[in-house]
Amino acid sequence: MLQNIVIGQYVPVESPIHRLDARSKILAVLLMAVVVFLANDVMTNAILVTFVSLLVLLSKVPLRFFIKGMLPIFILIAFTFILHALFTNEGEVLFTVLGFSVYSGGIIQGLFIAIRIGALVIIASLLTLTTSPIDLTDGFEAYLRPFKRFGVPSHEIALMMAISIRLIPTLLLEADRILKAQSARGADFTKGSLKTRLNTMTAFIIPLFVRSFKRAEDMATAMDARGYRGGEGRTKLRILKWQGKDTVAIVLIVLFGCTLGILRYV
Amino acid sequence: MSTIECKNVFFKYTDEQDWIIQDLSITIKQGEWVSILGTNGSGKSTLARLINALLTPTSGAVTVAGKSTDDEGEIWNIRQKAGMVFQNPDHQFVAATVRDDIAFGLENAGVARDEMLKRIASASERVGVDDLLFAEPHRLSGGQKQRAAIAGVLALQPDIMIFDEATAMLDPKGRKEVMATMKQLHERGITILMITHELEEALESDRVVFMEHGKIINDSKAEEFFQKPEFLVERDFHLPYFLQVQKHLVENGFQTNYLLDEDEWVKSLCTSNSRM
Repeated sequence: MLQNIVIGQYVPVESPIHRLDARSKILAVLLMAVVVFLANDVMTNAILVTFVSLLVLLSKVPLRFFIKGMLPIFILIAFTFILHALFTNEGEVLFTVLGFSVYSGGIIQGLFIAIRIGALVIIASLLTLTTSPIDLTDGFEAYLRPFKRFGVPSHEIALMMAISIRLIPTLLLEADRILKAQSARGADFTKGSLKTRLNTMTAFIIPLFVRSFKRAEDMATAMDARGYRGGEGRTKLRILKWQGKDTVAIVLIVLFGCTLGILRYV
Repeated sequence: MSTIECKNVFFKYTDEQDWIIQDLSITIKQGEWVSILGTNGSGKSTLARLINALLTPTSGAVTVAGKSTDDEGEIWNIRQKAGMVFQNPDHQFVAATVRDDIAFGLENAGVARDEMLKRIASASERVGVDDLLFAEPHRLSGGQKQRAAIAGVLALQPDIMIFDEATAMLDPKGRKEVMATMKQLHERGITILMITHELEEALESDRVVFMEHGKIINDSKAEEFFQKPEFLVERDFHLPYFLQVQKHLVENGFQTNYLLDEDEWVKSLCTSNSRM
């Protein structure tokens, strides 16, 4: 069952975006988070939609992965759209629902907001869909490193993330095993009131925790035995390479931001 | 060259506890293949941990290549010299892929990246995981994971490798793979210290140390040790089938001593003149 699972959301296909350095992709997402809010009229929103669509196409990640990522956010988007549609009093009255007059300006404003949130979510998914969790961790570590002098344990945070990611499938497998073992002993996780269900869940949660603590201890011993002594004097196998294309990507994002800015303010 | 020397070692975790290791002395020379047998709670694993400085003796001294495990400054050197492979393949796989996991120890030791790549290549080739370097742990079998763990230790170029029941959680195929790897390491002159419950595995080694209640009650060459299978039978060990048969033959006077190699024994049976 675990043969096909992909940790995180990473979709391993070949694309120009996949080949970018994790650091440039993280930076690009941060920049885009600002740029997205520059879009405020039909023109700029259209450009934003086009740009984001191009990025999605460029990533070669099948569309369904983006749709899957959008689903949980969809409620939020729908909610903000409705709020805007109901409470913006601009343009002409289109129709009236439950005593609220819906103006054309409201619909448009709602759409703009929906586009912005949608674009943000897609941009963020692009990062996790095209970057493997380990590269992502390395990228974050690189950005955290300067804060080390202020006491931020960048190496430790990165190692913790990496080990957690590595243990997800192990935990899933174990959870499955415990579920089966407890079912075999007569535990029924699907019947009864919420309270009884929560009670039965303890039969699942507690063994899972006990096993995890045991594993953590074993792993600490194994790490000790292999000479782990914190980040000091440690070398790294994985190196991040900032290449020309990473600079190009960042420049493109900045140019895109400038374009939107000019169209908005000039 | 790294000789392991334990002199009058006593160990317990807390004051109230009974001794887990009591008055244990042993010398293991470079290149030996030693199995440590014993029942659960006999102190086998504790002994292993004392040797690579994961634990330090309550009294007495453990030295590896002349360096005491008590010496704070030498701990990392000792751990590099005496690598350890543990029982649970899943609990010692730290990184996300085989390659990263082999690199983990090297990164800790501060090995330069170029050298690291070379060592990963040679270590993974030696244990036969070179085609699995980019595989994630959940896609590997237990035997493959253990071999990856061995490669991780091997990359640190140890003189000694300690296997703490490293085959206990593996299926027969995984066991075979790991045993074959051990044999190959032994041939290359690495000291093998193997903690096990399996007599079949102990048969492969040169020397058998049997522990009970934290003491060594037998320390002899494997050939000598297996001449007295009663010793094991008394302690509820299950003899390998071909040794059981030999036991009957010896007891009934058809054979004078035990042969540890099954094929050799079969051959000698076929060529023997005695009429059973």
